[in-house]
Amino acid sequence: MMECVFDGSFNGLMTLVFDTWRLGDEVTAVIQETDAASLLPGRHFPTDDSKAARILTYIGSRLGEEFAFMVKAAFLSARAERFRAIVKTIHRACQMGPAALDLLEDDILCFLACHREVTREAHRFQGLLRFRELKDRSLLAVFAPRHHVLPLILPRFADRFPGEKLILYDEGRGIAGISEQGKITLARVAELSPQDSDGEQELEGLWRVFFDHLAIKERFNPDLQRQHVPKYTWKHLPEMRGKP
Amino acid sequence: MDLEEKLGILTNAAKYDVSCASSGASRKGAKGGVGNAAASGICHSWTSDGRCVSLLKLLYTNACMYDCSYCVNRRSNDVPRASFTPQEVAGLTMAFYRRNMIEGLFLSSAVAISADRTMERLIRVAEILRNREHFGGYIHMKVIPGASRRLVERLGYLADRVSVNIEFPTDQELSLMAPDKTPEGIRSNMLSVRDRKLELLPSLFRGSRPPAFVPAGQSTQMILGAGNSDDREVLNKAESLYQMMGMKRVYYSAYVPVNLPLEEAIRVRTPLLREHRVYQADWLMRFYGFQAREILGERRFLDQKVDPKAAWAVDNFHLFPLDVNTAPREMLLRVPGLGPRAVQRILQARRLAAISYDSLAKTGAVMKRARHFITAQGRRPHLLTDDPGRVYRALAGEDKDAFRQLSFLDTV
Ligand code: SF4
Repeated sequence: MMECVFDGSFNGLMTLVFDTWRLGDEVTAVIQETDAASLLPGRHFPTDDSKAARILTYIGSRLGEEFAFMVKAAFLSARAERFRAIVKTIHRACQMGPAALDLLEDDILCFLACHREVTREAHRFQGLLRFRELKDRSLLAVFAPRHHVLPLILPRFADRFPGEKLILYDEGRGIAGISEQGKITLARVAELSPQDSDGEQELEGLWRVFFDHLAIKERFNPDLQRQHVPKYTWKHLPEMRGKP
Repeated sequence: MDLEEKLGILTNAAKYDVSCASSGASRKGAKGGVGNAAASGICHSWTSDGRCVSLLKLLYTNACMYDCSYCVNRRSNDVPRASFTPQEVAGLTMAFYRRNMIEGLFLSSAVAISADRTMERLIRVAEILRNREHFGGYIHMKVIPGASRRLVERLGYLADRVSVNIEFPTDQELSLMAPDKTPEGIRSNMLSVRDRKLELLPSLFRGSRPPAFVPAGQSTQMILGAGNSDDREVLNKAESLYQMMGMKRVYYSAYVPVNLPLEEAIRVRTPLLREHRVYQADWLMRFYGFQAREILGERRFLDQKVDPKAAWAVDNFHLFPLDVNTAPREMLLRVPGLGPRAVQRILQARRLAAISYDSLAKTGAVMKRARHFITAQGRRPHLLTDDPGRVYRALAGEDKDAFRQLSFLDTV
């Protein structure tokens, strides 16, 4: 029985995976240390980038790039049990290879669920993200995802709009991702004060006209709509803003 | 007339065309260009009827020369008419695309002056987008029925997907409902696309890259409930379109009686449940290895109370139950409640260790449905019936689609 504490970073978690390698089943909880809780009981694992690098190389070469990607995606999940699930799943996979993912064990199912939810939300925002043009012609999208999908979707938008300056802002986490001239950066930004370019209002108006004319009254089905466009995304969608 | 008004009219006029797919073509963003096409297709919003918004779906013009009985835009209707210019359509496409509102453009048109004249306008839009704006997003264009082969081919080099609507499963019905269109014209449009794709195939094998021609393939659409055809005719037609025309998708659209006065229209039930069942059957043909005649059995119409897979399983009850630890993949896929994901997990898990009945739910199987048809390690919960009639009623009781749609229709 062992409670493990780490600093919350990805490398920190990988260090923990490395250090608990042989303790396997004894790990019962994996907790992120926050400022308030730095006195948490349990064993603390200080981040060691070289250990993290070693475990990542190992995962990539032995378990495959896809598995390595799944670990990174699961890490972005907002589920409370994500850390434990990741640690346990990697341990299991190191014992028996990627086939560990086929086991019907709770930690592994949780790991898969984290990965699935994150990739699903990333896919959702690939569609539901909305840009608006700012005065300097750059494009800004503000959103508030449940999971930390920004690092996953930013490269996709960079590929789609190679000539544009893009700013993706995760309002809830206060993190902005910027893509400009092939370079991608993430930064903490407490607040934005954007200035829209002149035609922007009008363009949003045209978009709303299109959207509102598209629905077929005879097929009215708001539940289905809400299933695909959950309410938490409405605030940032020009076509849904102000709708009941 | 200002752009906003045109946009309203020509969106309204286009909305009954159901093909919302933007998938099938994959392309990376090019330097100096705007946009790429994602292979899986992306929805950017959903309208209040729950349909995916992926493409800027417009009519180029709704001023039609033809008089199809089922269509809002027919010549004899008194509706506001409008036409875009090629520049307007291209401009809207670029502006919406840059803001991530759409994956691309889906442009159709009524027949103005002649089929070929209309096709030329559509081609102009595509040329502006591809050649001047270097637009790399998705373009789906309708072929105007009866347009000449030369124009269909030119369009095919600009668009990701083209489609010409077959509308009805039989020639007689088409001639009756759309007297200005000819079945031969529509067939020849489809053949133009199919044949050119076939001609380009050998150069692919030689390793040279031919210019992309309709890379996402062609599709078509049938209207359900505007005429008298049954599901048997519809599914047989679809099957032959998939096999003979190399059709990528056949879409179905429950007919909305747009040309009846409101008080009459309200009494006509839009056959939404029928459409839903036909889509499910189409899905079984494309992904589960079913043939149209297997799905229908003796029926003319698909069963409404249970989905076609469940109906088939009840019809063929003597083939069940299957042992999940030994049954082949093709058969597992035919079990109601088992989708491709659950089947995949079963196949993977059983390689490691025999699957117990209780762990089946963890594979993602919908046990409420599947339990009637499977065993694991010889075990099945008792109380299960071997009477197909009772199984049918149990499945019907759980069919949420039937419930939801029926209660929805009942209020109409
Ligand atoms: S050709 Fe027929 S279906 Fe097409 S717009 Fe004209 S009337 Fe409508």
